[in-house]
Amino acid sequence: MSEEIVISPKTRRMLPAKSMHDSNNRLYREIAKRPGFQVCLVLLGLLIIVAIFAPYISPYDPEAISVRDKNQGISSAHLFGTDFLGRDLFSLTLCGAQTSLLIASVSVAIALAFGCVVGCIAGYYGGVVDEILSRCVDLLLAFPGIIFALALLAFMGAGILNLIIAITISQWAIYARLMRGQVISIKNLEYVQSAYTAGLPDRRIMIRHLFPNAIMPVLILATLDIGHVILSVAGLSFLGLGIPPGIPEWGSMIGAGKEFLRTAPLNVIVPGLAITFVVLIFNFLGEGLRDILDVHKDQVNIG
Amino acid sequence: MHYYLIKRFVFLVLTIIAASALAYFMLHAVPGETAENVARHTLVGIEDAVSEQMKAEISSKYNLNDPIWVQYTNWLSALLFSGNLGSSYVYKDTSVLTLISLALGPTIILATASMLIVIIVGIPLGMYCAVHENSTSDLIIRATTIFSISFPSFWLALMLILVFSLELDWLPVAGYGTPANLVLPAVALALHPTAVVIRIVRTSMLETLGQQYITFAIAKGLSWSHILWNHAIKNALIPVLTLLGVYFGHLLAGTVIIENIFAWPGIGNLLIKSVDARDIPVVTSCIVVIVAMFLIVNFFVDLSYHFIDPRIRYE
Amino acid sequence: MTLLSVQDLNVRFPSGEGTVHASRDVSFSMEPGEVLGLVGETGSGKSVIGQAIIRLLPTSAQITGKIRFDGQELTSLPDHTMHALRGRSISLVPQNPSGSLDPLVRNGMQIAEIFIERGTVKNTAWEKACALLVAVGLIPSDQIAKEYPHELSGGMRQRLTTSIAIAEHSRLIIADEPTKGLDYHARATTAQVLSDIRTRENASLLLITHDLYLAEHLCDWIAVLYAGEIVEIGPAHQIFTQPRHPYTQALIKAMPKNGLVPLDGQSPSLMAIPKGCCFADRCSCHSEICSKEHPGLIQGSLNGGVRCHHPFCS
Repeated sequence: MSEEIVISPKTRRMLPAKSMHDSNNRLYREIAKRPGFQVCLVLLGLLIIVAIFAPYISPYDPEAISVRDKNQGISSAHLFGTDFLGRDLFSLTLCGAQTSLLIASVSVAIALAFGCVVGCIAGYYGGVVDEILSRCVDLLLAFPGIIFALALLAFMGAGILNLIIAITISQWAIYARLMRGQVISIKNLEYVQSAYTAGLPDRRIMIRHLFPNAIMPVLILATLDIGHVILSVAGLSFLGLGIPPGIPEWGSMIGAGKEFLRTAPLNVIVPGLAITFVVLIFNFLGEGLRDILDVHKDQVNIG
Repeated sequence: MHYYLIKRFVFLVLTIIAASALAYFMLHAVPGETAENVARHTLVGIEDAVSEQMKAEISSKYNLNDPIWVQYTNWLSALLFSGNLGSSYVYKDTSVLTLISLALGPTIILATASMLIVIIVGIPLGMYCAVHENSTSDLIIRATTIFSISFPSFWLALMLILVFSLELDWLPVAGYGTPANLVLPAVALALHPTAVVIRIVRTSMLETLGQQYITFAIAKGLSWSHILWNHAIKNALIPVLTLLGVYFGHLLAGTVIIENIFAWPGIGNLLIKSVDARDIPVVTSCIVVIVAMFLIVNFFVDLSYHFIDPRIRYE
Repeated sequence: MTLLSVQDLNVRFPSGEGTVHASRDVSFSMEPGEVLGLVGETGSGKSVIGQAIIRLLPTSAQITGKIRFDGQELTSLPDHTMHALRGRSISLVPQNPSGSLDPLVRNGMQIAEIFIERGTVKNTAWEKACALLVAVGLIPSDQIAKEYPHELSGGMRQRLTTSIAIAEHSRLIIADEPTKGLDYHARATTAQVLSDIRTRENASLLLITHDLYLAEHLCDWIAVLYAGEIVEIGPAHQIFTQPRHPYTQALIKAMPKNGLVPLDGQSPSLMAIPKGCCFADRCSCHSEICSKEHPGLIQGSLNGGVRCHHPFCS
């Protein structure tokens, strides 16, 4: 077969051109080449296990107050020390993982699903439908960062369900916009046009052809977003607006512990490091995914 | 060109109004809540019970039984025609407008200072990393940016306070008034966006350096520094420019938390205080102001894009 | 004295899947003022030769062989010395003019910056640039100079990059696929511009193309490339009237004016060069020796050569 020679601009190396269709085999091979990514996947797995089984694997009851033991440093009894009410910081951290991951994954999942559907419809049908949906998206995106969630929570009050609702509503717009862009660039490709001319129903075209190919960048965004949402949840809880008191959450732990910043900094340092660690994993995962899926896309033919 | 300008400006105004409507509706959606809230601030104490009769009194006094869009229109016309945003529930003799105008200055100072840090530190570092791709410094800087994006900014603020204020005593813990007060908040606020900007500048620069016109410039015999300054940097910065508008938005949203930690008397601080006190008129106005600032900055960024990229100029 | 002498040039690109052997034992020479055409299909490795001469191959490329230009051995020159030759003694007309022009720089400046960077005053440089635009037929030159590349048609961009190549009166101009993607009219204009350059500048022109019409009209000598190696080389008129290699014969038969007769099959992968003659599986004359033994370049009596066990066959 005549070999097309291409240059990858990033590495300025010549590579044989690959076919544009992803296959699962290639995915496994790419992952196998990246030990860093594999480590992240393992850590993610561990994180999920911790999140699910946190209450069972915590050495102490996270809510057990013991004023006598307050603000102790790291010791063999308390791996991360105790907080200002004598609660074990290690147990609090583990249970906080459960809270953060639960809220983040549910919010992102729902926002992703909703955003993708809206984006797909807007991109596929175009015209008035697209205009209306895009204006809605623009309106939501006019509220930067956590401002929209803040407003909703100000009105609805704190609570896990409210928090999930607030975050979902402020996040779906980004997915919708990205998905719409993807769909628009794909829908004019030949194989979609042939499906259309062959008379396939719209929904089938969208589900079978557009979705799988458009979804990749959106999935990468979602992975990076989980980290971002964890940070937002922590921020809102820090301000006292997110999680109700009583449920362990890293942000509210920092908020409550900040007055002991000088005297007992572990109150603040431990949950902060926990957040950083978890968000780091998701950031690496997202970057790794982007690297894996992108590597053969930007090649230049010199023939 | 002028047609485009007017069109975009009209769109800007409409979006701000639509966003204000959305914010208003969100916060005033349940009339019973609003009445109860007002009663708590004006008639009885915050924690006290509110009787139905009180609620009815308040509702008729403030026209809370009107349909929400009527209430909103009244609010909007009061704003546009008489510059009146209502009165604060908490600071009973102060108009919301006064509160906001007092808070606007500090936020602008903080946001500008942070943005300057982002531009002055982020862009050159990103360029440096691209030009020295995969060198040790590149790897170190990139690792630092991934960490920086993962810290919660409020936690970082507290850590900065711990080190620089409490332990080293170089800078004040909180407050407003001297340049020293500006340092920690501006740095804490700027950290995330700077890290992100370093990464996107690097990516954009690498992509630009791989373009054919750079190779051709080498074939022309031009010197590397000429190519860098006259071809690479300009092309690489164009996609970054549009993103700067978005990151300004994140910066603004970040002021909410950072101002709170450093007791910086800006809009973000005012917003949180009002949310805590359920001072709804102030909350509404703060949100509208923040959204408006965000949209206006993006408007100017979009416009500048038109001046910079000749391919777009004549559309 | 020979201007350019390429001897046993081999270019390899290691990749994850294997080594791509893009150029194999390529040898040719050029006299001053001569036009040599490197002709072949996509994937035959012709562009790689041009890039190797001006040393603009990707950093992963492995080059062996000799490239002597004007008495200097190019492959071993230090970077800054080689860079001093680019744009001055050796110029390139790049393959994709649209992608090769910085979209943010005005057309006039694309040319003028070469002079400005070397010390010329801006006004003078601009005048020189306008003169060059006139030379390639881009008029009114003042107006075009002030415009941007995206405002030009494909053919006009091609002429712009050509004018850049003649800016410093280079001794060797490498034109990489100058008519690729151009419509009939633009193609003819480009051919005319190149022809004018040849007459006026007395530069040597290395014409890399798959456009046989262009090659026929411009070239003094033609080297036919297949699967990375030269399979036939000779004076242009001889190549077109008495082609010796079966591939050359097939190429000529495939020209529109000769009936557009296609050739079956595909050229071999440059990662897996077959034993014996590369063209064997597509050749109507192939015999047992063709599959076993790789033919060497046989020198013909009229100069040039052919790489075939059965030249003049069919």
